[in-house]
Amino acid sequence: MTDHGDLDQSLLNPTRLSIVSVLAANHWAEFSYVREAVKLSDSALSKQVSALDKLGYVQAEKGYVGKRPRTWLNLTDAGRKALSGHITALQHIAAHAGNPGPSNRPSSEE
Amino acid sequence: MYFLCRQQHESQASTETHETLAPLKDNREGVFTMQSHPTPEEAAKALNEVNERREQAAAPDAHPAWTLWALGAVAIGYGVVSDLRPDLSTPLLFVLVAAALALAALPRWKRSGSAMGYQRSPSSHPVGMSGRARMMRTGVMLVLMALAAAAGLIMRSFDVPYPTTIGITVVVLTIPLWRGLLNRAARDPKA
Repeated sequence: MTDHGDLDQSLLNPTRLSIVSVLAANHWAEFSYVREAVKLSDSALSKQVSALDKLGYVQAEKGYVGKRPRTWLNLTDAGRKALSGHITALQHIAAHAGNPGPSNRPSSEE
Repeated sequence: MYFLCRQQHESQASTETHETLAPLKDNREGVFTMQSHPTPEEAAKALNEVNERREQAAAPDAHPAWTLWALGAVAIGYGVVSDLRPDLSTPLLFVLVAAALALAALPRWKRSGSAMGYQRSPSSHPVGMSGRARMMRTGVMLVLMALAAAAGLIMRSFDVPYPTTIGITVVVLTIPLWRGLLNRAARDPKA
């Protein structure tokens, strides 16, 4: 039986999908890096991160490096699973039109 | 249309939505609407976005520039010691390899990685890199190492003074060149 994946309604938001996709490739990323990557303001990214945190997809950890505050983001196992299922579902949808889209391999950085 | 879609969603998600969101890419055309079930075209666009983000995040440039130059300086120092004190070259090599392994492991953790200047964890297996691309990258590295070894042998056969120092210095000074080669080898268009 072919697994068509589960379309995650919260990941239909392109901003959240971008954030989760950036985090999927790394064990951790600083808030500033994700902000630059998806080109959002601090407050906009904070809102999205909070929403993803409530869903259990993203973990945000605050700390200090020396005297400089830092916020680190990482994708949780639930987030990776949701992204993987969402990608599979998108591939299935795109393939139905004869347009398979790019090949998206599951992240090897688990 | 894209801005409007994102702003509408932002206003639904929060009471403070006054930021104008910049496009993720300047040449983006159209967006998928916030439907519960995207069309095939929207799904393909979303998949493109996912691919681009993951390749961007997994690009082999996570290492701060200073780490490469520090590595180069240490390598040149090793070359000098090898030429001037060959008896120390082997123990020094063990020490340097141990230090390099420790430094390679540190960025895996958030605090130590950030302290070293990393903004994200470096990826040893970049997402999106095909097996063929990895083989090409490995092949380029092997070719470079073989060239360096051959150059060292040639210099020794002609009694060139300080061959190890010269060889390593040449490699270090050409870091931007072979780094570009490695990155190009990693980007396989057929991946």
